[in-house]
Amino acid sequence: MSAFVRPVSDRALLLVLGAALLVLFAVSLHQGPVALDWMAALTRPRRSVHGVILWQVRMPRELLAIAVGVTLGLSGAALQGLLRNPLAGPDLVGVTNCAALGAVLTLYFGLAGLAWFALPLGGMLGAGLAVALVFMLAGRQASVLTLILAGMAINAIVSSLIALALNYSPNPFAMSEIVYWLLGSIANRSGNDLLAALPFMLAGWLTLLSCGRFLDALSLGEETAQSLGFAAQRMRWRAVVGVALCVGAAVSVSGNIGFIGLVVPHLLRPWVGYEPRRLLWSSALGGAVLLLAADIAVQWLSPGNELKLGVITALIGGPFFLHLIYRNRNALT
Amino acid sequence: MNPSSPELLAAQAVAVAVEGRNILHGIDLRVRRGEFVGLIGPNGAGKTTLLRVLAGLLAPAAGRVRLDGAALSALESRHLARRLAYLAQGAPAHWPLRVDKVVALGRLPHLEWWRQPGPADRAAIERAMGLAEVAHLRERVVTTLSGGERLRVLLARVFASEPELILADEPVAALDPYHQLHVMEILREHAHVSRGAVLAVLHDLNLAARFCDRLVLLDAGRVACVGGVREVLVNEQLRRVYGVEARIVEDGGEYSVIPWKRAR
Repeated sequence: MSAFVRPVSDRALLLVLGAALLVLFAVSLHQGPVALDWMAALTRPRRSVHGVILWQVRMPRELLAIAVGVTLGLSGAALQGLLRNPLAGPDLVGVTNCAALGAVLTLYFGLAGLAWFALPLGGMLGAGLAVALVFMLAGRQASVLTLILAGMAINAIVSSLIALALNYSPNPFAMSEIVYWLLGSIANRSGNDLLAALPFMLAGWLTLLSCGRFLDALSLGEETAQSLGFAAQRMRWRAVVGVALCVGAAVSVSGNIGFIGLVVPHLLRPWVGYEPRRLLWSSALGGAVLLLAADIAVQWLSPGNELKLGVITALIGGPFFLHLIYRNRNALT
Repeated sequence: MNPSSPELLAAQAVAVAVEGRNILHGIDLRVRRGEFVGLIGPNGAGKTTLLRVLAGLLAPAAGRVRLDGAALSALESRHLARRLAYLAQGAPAHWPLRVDKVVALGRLPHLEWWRQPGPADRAAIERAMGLAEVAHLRERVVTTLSGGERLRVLLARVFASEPELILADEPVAALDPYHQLHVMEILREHAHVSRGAVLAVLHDLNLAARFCDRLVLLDAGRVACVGGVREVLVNEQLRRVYGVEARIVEDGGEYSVIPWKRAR
């Protein structure tokens, strides 16, 4: 597909993605079981039912969709740039799952109530552990195969640990709560959930965006990047910390929403001429656009909120991943 | 530039050990301004390792490296990157980037994190593409280029940094004779015309003889011989270090070496 796409300017891309984001944001706020009376909602935000629906139900949800989308798109682009590998992504290398484990353990041991930042912290520790593990297993010059195998191993271990936690969960309600949360959703999250995770996500975004030029230099290999004046070791850790911060915090609120981090950078890469730095910010916007669109689709397909967001992204992302493997099958070995 | 110190790069008693095995022992090496120095030696002699030490990519276990009199380890990495450029062996490109974008990467050492590339950077990129004769390829994608074209693009990336010293690891390996000559000419020009300096790892003894001002012959991690082409590329050294007999032809001031048969 890339052969037919000509790279576009930063401004054009920003305009298109920004416009799409605004339109989808408006649509997502408008959409819902209740037909929103915008007049009432805007003029009496606290005292009308419509005001409460807009500001306390839909606004946190859609802002969370944007924040999680930015996180997944950005960290996918960063990991692909860092590992110089188009098949990397926070979920495939096990980062999302490990973050989920961190959050599950925090819930399981009842630590989540101790402090407002306990749950995001659990997620971040899990995510950080996963990225570090992938680096240790796959090494710096990871081939696609080692990378995917490392991700598979981590995912398998983490899944079994999550199953263990479920196995010993104190009661069926706690168990079903964890399972539902794991499926990945942004429904019924409060403004406080968002606020607890947002500072960490912001810190992670800024950290990752600051790696842009390093990732550009890295496209000529690690030694060349170092000879261009980057402390490769330190920059790599910076990217790892950035991914851990934002993915950990995002997953602790939204659960496991898969494939966004793989799909978005992949679709946008030809449009930015394969430049890793430009891919960072455009994937951030693209991730937000895709997640908002997915959330709108979820609400439209099942108005009763039965379908989880993570389920639909996996339904779309899984086949997309297969397609990528099929297209790259000659380059994989 | 500091005309009082003609020695741009000086390595003193450099030693490197990897996993307990000594790869380099007490290497002394100098590169002066305006000089094109060839680093030659058989496979596994430690040429690449030495080049990486000289480029500041690998810290030596002992000894020191000075750039224009200042210890390499004391220089800030971006400052070092502005004065010294390193062309890696094989020189991979991981994404199908456009040629002018690859060349522009050479400006990264000059860009503070808050600064976008300006007219001076664009001028340097143009100049670099002109020097390496890749301006006509600017809109091509680097992964679709031939080996010779890609190497010149990566050389243009090196020139875009406007370095004084270029360290190149096997810049002409895997190129056809036309492109070998072309790249060697470009490197010699950097030393002789632009008054920079070049240290290149070379396997082709004839190219080394024809283009280099001085040669450093490395053998099993030690400097076996340093000097002009006629001092280093003699049968006694070639037999001892490479284990080959060579036919040495002097023809009107030109010196060429033809490895003829194995001596051991």
